[in-house]
Amino acid sequence: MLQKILERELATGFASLPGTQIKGKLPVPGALINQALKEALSKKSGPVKGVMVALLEGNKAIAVVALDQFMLPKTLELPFTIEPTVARNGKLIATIQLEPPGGLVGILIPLLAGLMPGVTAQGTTLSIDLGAQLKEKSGHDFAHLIDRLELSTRRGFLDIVFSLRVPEEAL
Amino acid sequence: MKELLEKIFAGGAKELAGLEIEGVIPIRQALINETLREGLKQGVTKEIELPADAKAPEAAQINALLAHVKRAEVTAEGGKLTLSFHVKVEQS
Repeated sequence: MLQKILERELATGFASLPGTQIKGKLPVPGALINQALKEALSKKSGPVKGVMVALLEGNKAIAVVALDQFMLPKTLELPFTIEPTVARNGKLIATIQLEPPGGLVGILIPLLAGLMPGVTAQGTTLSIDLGAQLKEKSGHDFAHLIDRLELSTRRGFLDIVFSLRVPEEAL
Repeated sequence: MKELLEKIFAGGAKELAGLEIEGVIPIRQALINETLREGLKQGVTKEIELPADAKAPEAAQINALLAHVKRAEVTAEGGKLTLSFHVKVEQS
């Protein structure tokens, strides 16, 4: 079955296509990111009820977070910075640095961020394991094929620069 | 998200201006022959034909991207067929 051949290639990291090299730049509209966030959050319960992201120049962005949590405001604006490099040592980890407000809110925000799907928080640094999310959605692990994945922002867009390579020798 | 993607591609992917992908895919003769064999077994047209309905989202997305293909070449050498391509969505 053709479907079986495709499945086999996906499962073996395209082992029958050694030497494959693909590189490119993908501009992702902010609207698409916000829609993805909305859909991801709709499947989860917890105090974070919604997140909208406004993308700015120079890897800066602002997240507007809707909360339903005692002692916290209903909405928060959280500026953050996106670390450009995502692909490291065969893993795809997107890192963002929050600039949280002070006081109780400042303490709780990283904890709340850690409740978002696929996000782990260490202080004000949030890590999103994109490789794991990709694997969860597709059922296959592609992270080791991606040798470059970099993020940059401009107003309204996230630009992704990537390159992937299937090693010459079959895996 | 699916609806938003459909909308973007229905508009000719103009919102994706700046998108650029290029690549080289060497395909071994054995894989091509295996694919042909399997395709013939089950009737190739059933599975590889694009959706006949031009309004089908998949067809619209494929057509939108094909409009931006700048280069596509195939070379064959040493039991291997190599496809190289370049897709770029220009700023309008």
